Amino acid sequence: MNFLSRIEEILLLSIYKLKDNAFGISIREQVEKDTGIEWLSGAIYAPLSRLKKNGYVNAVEAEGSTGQGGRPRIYYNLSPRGMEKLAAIQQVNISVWDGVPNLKRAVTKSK
Amino acid sequence: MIKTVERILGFFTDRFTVLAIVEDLDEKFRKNRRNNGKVISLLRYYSAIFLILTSFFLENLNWRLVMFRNYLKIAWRDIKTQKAFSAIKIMSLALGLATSLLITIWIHYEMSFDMFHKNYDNIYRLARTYIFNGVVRTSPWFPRAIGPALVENIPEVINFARFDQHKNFDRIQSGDIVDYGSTLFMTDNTFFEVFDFPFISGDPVTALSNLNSVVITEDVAKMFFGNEDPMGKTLLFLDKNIPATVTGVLKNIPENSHIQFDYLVPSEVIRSWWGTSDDLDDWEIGWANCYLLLRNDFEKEDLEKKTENFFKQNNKENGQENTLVWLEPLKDLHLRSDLFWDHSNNAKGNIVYIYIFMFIAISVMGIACANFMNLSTARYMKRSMEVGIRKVSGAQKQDIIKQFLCESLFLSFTSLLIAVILVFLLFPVLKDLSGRNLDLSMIYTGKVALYILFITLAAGLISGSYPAFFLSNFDLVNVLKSKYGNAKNSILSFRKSLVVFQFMCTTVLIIISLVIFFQLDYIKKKDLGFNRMNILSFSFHREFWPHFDTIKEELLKNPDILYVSSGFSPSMDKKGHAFGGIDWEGRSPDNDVPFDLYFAHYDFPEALGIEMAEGRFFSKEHPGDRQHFVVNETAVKEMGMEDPIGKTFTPDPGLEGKIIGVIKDFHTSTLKARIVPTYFICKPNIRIITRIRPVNTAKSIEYIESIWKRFLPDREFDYYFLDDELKAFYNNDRNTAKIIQYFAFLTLFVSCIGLLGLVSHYTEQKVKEIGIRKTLGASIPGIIGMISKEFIILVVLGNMMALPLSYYIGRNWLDTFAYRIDLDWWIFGYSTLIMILITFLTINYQTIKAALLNPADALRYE
Repeated sequence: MNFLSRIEEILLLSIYKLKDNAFGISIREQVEKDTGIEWLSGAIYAPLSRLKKNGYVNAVEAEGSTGQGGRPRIYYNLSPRGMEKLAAIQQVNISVWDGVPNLKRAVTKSK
Repeated sequence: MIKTVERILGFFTDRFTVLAIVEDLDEKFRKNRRNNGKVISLLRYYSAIFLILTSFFLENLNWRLVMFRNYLKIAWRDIKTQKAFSAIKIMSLALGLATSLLITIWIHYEMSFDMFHKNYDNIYRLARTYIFNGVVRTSPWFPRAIGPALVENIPEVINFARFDQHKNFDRIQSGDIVDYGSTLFMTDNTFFEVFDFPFISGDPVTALSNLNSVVITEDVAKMFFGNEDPMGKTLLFLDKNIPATVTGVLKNIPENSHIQFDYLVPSEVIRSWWGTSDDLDDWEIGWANCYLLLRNDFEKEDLEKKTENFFKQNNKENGQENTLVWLEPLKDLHLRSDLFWDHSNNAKGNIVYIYIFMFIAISVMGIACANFMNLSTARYMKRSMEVGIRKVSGAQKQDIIKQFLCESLFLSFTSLLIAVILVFLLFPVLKDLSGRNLDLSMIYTGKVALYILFITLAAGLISGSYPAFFLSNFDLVNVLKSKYGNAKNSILSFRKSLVVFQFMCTTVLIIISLVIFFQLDYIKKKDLGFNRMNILSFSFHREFWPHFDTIKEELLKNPDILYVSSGFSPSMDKKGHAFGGIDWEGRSPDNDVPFDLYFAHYDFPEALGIEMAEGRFFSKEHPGDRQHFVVNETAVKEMGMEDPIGKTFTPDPGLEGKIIGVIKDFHTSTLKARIVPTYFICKPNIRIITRIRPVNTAKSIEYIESIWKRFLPDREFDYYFLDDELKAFYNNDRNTAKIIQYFAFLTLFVSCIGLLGLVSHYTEQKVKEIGIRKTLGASIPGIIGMISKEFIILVVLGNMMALPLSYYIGRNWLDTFAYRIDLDWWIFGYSTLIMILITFLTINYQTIKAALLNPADALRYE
């Protein structure tokens, strides 16, 4: 199977978690909250557009709800293909992490 | 700003992502704005935009670059393995590019004349054609009254500008500083409404409202007042002893303006300066150049008709039946205008030269591209194996095309780099030769830079296209079996026709430069009817007028000064001015010969070394000579006069006199004009002419200067040698000829490079054939002849095809001279001979090498 890059994976997850509220700003904030670091916009949107190009996410122009400057706000949601992909990734993640204890605790203990 | 960013982002990604990004950026900015200052938040905003653009750019490039890098790598390896071949390719393209770039700079400058006027497209100059005493003349001079009257009466005419030009205006003074010989215009405030000559200080609306006002240029202001503010200062027009106040300072007139002046004074001054009463409204006298600012929607022919009628109604004397009035657009004035009395058109250009140079630029580029194609094709034949392998490993046809186009673009941009360096090196030469103040910074301007990129791109694509499409079409199986099939023949004939094309262009240039060379040589050696060496002359200033006799006497005291006279100089560009309405004894009524008038004082023939055909010239011993005339031989012939001495001659009613002598024909002006019937009047004028001994020239000049200083102490001594002046007549032609010769040489060089590449490839292919021929007993000269023949036929063919075009251009150029060489067959013979010789020399090394090869080496692998 084709692996996604890490950021692509994180983006898919964020969109999944945000459900109906996934748009540019909220996605970035979600990613920053989950990873705990500040991300450059380019580092988020370039993979996002790649995901869209490859058909993992759909972008919808929201009627009525407008963002700044009168421009329509763009909402993202997972396409069926994206959903499948996410599921596959989850399987892989579960199996590769299987049997690994909480490493953070192990590291702090050894100090 | 944000719109542009949106658009740029739009290239890389879809509209949705763009919108999402923009919203996010706005949000971030607002948050920032709450916590930080405006500058910091804006800075963060812009740097975020920049980072986004870069990451998207890289994201996009990354994937395409992988293949591209492979193409470049292969291209680079190919260059390295074929060093000489690639160097030839790149250098010839670089030379071609550099040449056409240089020409572009020059053409761009010539085309830029007067473009700085805001109303460039809507300004027209009035011109008229008329017949004066049987001679057709064209002129831009109109009565001053016509401008305002046209504005008032014809709705399409929005505004007018008129000026009356005074070149070499004598003496303008302020304090100790005197300005001689500047150009002064008499004009109106509307001048600034029609034209855009920017003011440094002063108000264009009122600058010339006051009778005693003057507007000057920056340079004039610097000369008189240094760094002081010139506004309100007083200038004295010494000639008239009239003070004028500076009411405006203009930026220096750009060199690419066909109008050039130093001072502007109001038109009204003619009343006080020349004492005429109502000159401004007079339709019969008082002439000025008149420019009209027209509405966008005017009909040219209709307006010309209206203007003509208007002119004829008001001007009784000059508005005759056969007068034509027409409009010349401002954009044609520099290159296309050809009026007879056009003295105010500065640095006039010639559209024919523009065409010649365009031809050169295009053909050099064509030759360079042909070279590139030719050599690439030769080389790519060997790379068909590579193509085959690529195809086997899955490359599509378009991938192969892409690869070869990439390669040729890579080469063409490398050439561009070298070309730019060449341009920087050669630019000073061009600037010097063209006699124009060209500016290299022109190539940085958007339009030219775009044009350069376009040419390079086009050169790369065109020259890469043939090999690219050709190679991508190879049949895979044949290629891998090293069979070219029929392709070989078609490729050869294509390359041959390219060679023919190259040598056609080259031959045209060679013939043109030969024609120009022989004509200029003819001019140099032509007997002008006088002895042009050792004649020194200087201007006959008004301060000298009352003292002419004393000056002559003083000059002759020096034993090194042989003769002194005064009059016109053969170095004056008179364009064959002629006057009709002349009467003589025994004239048949229908014989109306237009005559040229020539001022010459005593000793004129001796000073210039002209002989008399009959009778004598004016002399001191005959005080009555002031009423009599001398004519030239052409005049006698045209008048049909036998035994002319003593006959009556009447140039103007009431000016009757006798012909006392016939002077042998000499060229009174450039060789572009015929010798016309001329009559001579005994009067000092324009120049004082001296014949000096060829020895002690420096001492003689010093002596003449001392006499000049005695009568005109505050003016710099200023003298001319006739020989130098006559050379200057043809300066423009000579400079252009030199440029054409340089370019012809460059073209020839580039063509030869191409030929060399081709012949080396050809012999390489024929190695086996030559080997077999030699074993069968062919001689070395025989083999050399066999190979040379192939190429010489091509060159001769190109030569033949060049004949009609070069004959046409040569004929046209020679037609500008009244005295010229014949366009004989031997000029074409010369060029053919030169071409064959050069071809032979070029291919010599390769053919001899091929012929001397041991046949065993050639055949042993079989």
